Amino acid sequence: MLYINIENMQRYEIGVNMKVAVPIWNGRVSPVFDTAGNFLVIDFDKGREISRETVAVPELQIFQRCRKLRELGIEIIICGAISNPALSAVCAEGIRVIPWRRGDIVGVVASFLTGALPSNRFMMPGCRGRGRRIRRGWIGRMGRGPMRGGRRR
Amino acid sequence: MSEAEKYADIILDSIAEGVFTVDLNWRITSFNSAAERITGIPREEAIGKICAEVFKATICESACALRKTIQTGEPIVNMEVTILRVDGEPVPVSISTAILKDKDGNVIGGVETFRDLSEVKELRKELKEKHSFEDIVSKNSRMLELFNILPDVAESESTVLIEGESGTGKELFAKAIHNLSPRRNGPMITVNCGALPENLLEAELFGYKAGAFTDARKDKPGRFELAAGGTIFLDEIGELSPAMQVKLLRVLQERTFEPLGGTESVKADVRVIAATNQNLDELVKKGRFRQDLFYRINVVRLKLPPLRERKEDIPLLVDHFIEKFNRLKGKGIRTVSPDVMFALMNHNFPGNVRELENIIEHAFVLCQGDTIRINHLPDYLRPKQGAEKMISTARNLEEVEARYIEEVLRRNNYNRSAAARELGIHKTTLWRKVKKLGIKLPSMDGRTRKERLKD
Repeated sequence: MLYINIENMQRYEIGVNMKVAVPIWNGRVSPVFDTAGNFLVIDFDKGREISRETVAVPELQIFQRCRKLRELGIEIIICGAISNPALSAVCAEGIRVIPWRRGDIVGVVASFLTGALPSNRFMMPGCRGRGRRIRRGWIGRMGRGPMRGGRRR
Repeated sequence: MSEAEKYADIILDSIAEGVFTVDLNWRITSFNSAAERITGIPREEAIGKICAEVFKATICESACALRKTIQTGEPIVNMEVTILRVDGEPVPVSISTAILKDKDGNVIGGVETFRDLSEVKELRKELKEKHSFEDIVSKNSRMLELFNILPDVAESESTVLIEGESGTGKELFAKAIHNLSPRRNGPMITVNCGALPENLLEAELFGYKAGAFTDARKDKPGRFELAAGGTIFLDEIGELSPAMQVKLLRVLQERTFEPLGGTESVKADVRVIAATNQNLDELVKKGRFRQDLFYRINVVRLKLPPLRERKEDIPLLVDHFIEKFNRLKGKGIRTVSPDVMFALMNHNFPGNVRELENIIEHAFVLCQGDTIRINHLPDYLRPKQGAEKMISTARNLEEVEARYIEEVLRRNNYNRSAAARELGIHKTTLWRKVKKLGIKLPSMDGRTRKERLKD
């Protein structure tokens, strides 16, 4: 089982099957989640990518946007800047969020898999050392427990 | 760095507007102090980064202002957008852009300035709230006067009579009075006196004991009892039958009532607010409403103006309903088009605010974009097609006048008095214009027999 290391404090196991979405723009993580037009949706199985596709998300109204993401079965979102209201809404849908990331998609996804995402290299300007902020994004599951099929060490 | 460059930096760092420049690869090449302050990003972290990842505006992806300016060569001035600060808070800003050229005139990038609008937005919101009172929206002076006296009226516990056409917000006012009164933590019970037949109304208001009539299997408390400790709102009080009026008068006088089939009196610990869309004075004069009851209710009398007498509230109410339905239906409608506002401002609103609310709700069903347009409105609000076309194809002012006079005449069956009245001119003026413009009249015109006999 593959583990993702989050800020050196908690380890989460990637579940049997997991869908990760990253808002994408010009081959990079889209800078603003709230208005991103397209999401790259990657299907993982036991830590290995089985498929990826780009899905258009034209909905701008935050609740409609969250509903669309939920319907797509997204469990984790890696994104750039996200407004507080949007972050609350997405977390309320049970989707985990890794926010304030930037960089080219290939690098970001590869890092996510090796657990290197907390590294400052992928943080947006002005967001270094945001320990507390990241944690809030992770606790986004709102008490629904660890990821499906996961075992917290 | 040369003296001039240092001086330029000092200037840029002293102004309140954020300023940043980008090169042709969209990398930030300069970032002033105000930009640091408004975005929350230190200069060293911004320089060299892609500007969208620093500025994080809602339009970066879809409609970047700098991108448009560099492509078209046209500067953009005072565009309102929202940016995300590093703490996740959306900040409203006003942006302006310009192209950067070197001394040979080659485009080397762009410059964007932005101003924090948070304070302006707060002030605008405060202004809007000045026009809101306990869920009632208005800036009309008569309504504001009513808002002013409501707290005292509420505090006094006296019986209140609210008069106004249907749909003017009588129940909202009753609720406001209840919420401002010492009874605010008690229940507020509404009874529509016109909705129930008399015998049922009596049972509703005063309750009944088991066995009082067939089907009365157990005791049921009446509305007066349910409202104990609170307020009872009697809507359409003019609809009460004479018998009910007597009973109600007694409750107001003695502060007790008897449930049907019961012998014991129950204390009425309620504050009474009544409402009517009829003219109670007239009803009293006609003998349809008891004078003594009228005086008991009419302790404090509030008259609500109809919507057509406070047309300045229409834009406020439109905004209020758009916000309300956006929240309820999860839509993102922002505004109405100017011709919709024109149609609304020129409408009489026999159904008052409730009619306006229904119109907006109707528009919400049809509107898919972010602006409500004329075709989203119910049929009866849309201007007549024929009239529009007629006027827009006229060749000069005289022709417009001729066609319009013709239309008005036709509408009035060629009755010249009626047409003149509608046009707001004297009969002879109309006659002169008809002659001058060469308007053809049918031989059998709409003059009434009396008039025809005259000439």
